[in-house]
Formats: sequence, structure tokens, C-alpha cells
Amino acid sequence: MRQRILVGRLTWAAVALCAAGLLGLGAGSASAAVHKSWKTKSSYGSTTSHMSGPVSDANIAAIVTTANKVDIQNAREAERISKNPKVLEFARRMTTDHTAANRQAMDLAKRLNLTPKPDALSRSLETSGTQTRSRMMSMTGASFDRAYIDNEVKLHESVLNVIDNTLLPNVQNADLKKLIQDTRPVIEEHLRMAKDVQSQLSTGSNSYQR
Amino acid sequence: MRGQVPTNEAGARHRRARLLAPGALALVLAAVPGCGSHARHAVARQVVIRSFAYDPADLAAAPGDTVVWVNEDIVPHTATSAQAGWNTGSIAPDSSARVVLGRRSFGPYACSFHPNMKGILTRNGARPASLPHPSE
Repeated sequence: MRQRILVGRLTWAAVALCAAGLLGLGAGSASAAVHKSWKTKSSYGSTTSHMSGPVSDANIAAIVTTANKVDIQNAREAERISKNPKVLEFARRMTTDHTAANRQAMDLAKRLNLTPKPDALSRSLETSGTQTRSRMMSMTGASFDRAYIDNEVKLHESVLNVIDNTLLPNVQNADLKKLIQDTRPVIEEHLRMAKDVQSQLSTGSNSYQR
Repeated sequence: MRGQVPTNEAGARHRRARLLAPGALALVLAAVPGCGSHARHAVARQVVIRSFAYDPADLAAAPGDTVVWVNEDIVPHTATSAQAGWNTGSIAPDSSARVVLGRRSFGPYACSFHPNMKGILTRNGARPASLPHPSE
């Protein structure tokens, strides 16, 4: 029994860690988020069973659509604020790809009669996305570009982690599982693209005039 | 773009195309505009786009052949050759697009949306065998 509780806690710790990665721009905010998640879990018995319980297909649908939505909203801010062609191109690609991926997710949910049900992870994604964006919106120029791209690297790394450690091990419906499997290479490629832009920003090998 | 006809096709055609094996000698085109006496032997070849890769990545074909790219990913892609001057345009998920190859259509191509996706069209030394024409 103690072993089962430990496994449940470790699973939640992995999920919380992934969510934390999605939270912010820097390591500081990520570690704060981990602490907050643990504090929430250990302090509120009524939420403990929900947070460490199994992730349902309805929860997974909510996590997928929220992750897409957060990245689309980030990209729209980048398209509004950035003047760097590489960053703008990347942001436009995020908008297009995540809009298409989200449409597939919504269509599938409709076909399966699956109503996305927000859980702690999807709610945390949503909240942290809003906080991150409001922080980025106060930045301009190269500072914004770096913050946006650094966050995109962290975001896609975290989503890969969530896919591998939370979504795929828990998904029940075969069609939803296929959608997640099809989503994985999208996230992987976006991570590669984000790292390319990140490296160009750090070496200054772009046409942006600072 | 002479001799190259990029065409986007809707889902219905895509579903038909999915019945074909990737890269297989697929079907004989009854007529390919602009291919003259070779029209009846032109071959349609299929490249499946899956998991951000072209399959097959290296496709052997001949002028007059039609290459159909079928997008099985959940995001749009293109097949674009800046060098040869052809471009399928955006291929939506569950859709396909085709290019009729001219003499200069061969060489490397890539997805203009996801530049890490690369493919190549290799020109066949000899025209590949094709299925017999229905009238033969």
C-alpha cells in the first residue's frame, strides 16, 4: 500500500515538474511552481486524491487543447511584438501548426463525444501561460525575442515530457492515443526549430537590427 | 513551371490515394496533358508525409510522371524545390497535392514550413515499367 502511495506521488511529481516547465521563463519560476504543487498536494487532503489519481481521456483532451491554446496565444503576442524575421517566422509556424493540431483534437473529441475536463495540470498550464505572457508583454526588442524563444524551448521540452510520462501511459481510447502519437513529432520538430532560432539569437546570426 | 502541374486535392482523393503503397508503381495515367506520345506510360508515384518525413525520402521518377504527396500528419506541409522551381503549396492534413514532372524537376526538395524535412527526386535512367494500359 505504501508503495502504491509512493508511486502515485512520484507520478504527480513528474506531472508537476512538467507543468512547472511550462510555467515561466526561468528556472526560478519553475522551481517555485514545483514547490507550490507539492505544497498544494501535501496541504489539502481533498485535492490529493484528485491530483494523484488517474488521468482520464477527458482530462487528456483538456491538457492537449490547453497546451495548443497556450502556444497559439504566445505566438500571437510574438507576432505583435517582435520585429525579428526569424522569430516572426517561427511564431507564424506555431500559430498555423498548433491551430491545425487543435482542430484535429477538437474534431476527435467531438467524434468521441468526449468533453474536455480540466484537471490540475491543464489548469496550471492555462494559469502559467497567462502569467508568462503578461511578463513577456512588458518586454520589447531583443529581450522579448530571447524570452519568447527561451520559453518556447522549455514549453516544447515540457510538453514532450508530459506526452511520454503522463498522456501516453494513461490514454485509454485508441484514436486519442493515435492523435497523441501523431502530435509527438510535431512537438519534437517545433523544439528543434525553437533551438535553431535560440542559437541564432545567441550568436547574433540574424538580420534583426538591434 | 512548364510541364509541372501542382495541384492540391481534397480529402476524398486523398483517401483513394492512401490505398496505394508508398512509392509504389501505382497507376497508369490514361492521359497526362503535355506528355505527348509518352502520356499512356506516365506513372503516378506516391510520397507519404508522416511524422515530419517524406516516405520514400529518395524517389526515382521520370519526366512526365506525376508525384503525389499525401499528408498524413496533423499539420500542413509543402514539397518545394527552389532549385527546380516547383512548389505544391500548403498541403493540409489528410490532403494531397501533385506535381507533374518536367525534365528539370529533379533534385532536392524540402518542406518550406519545416526546413528539416528533406527529400530528393532522382531521375530514372530508364523509364520504369508500368502497368499495361487498359486498352492493351
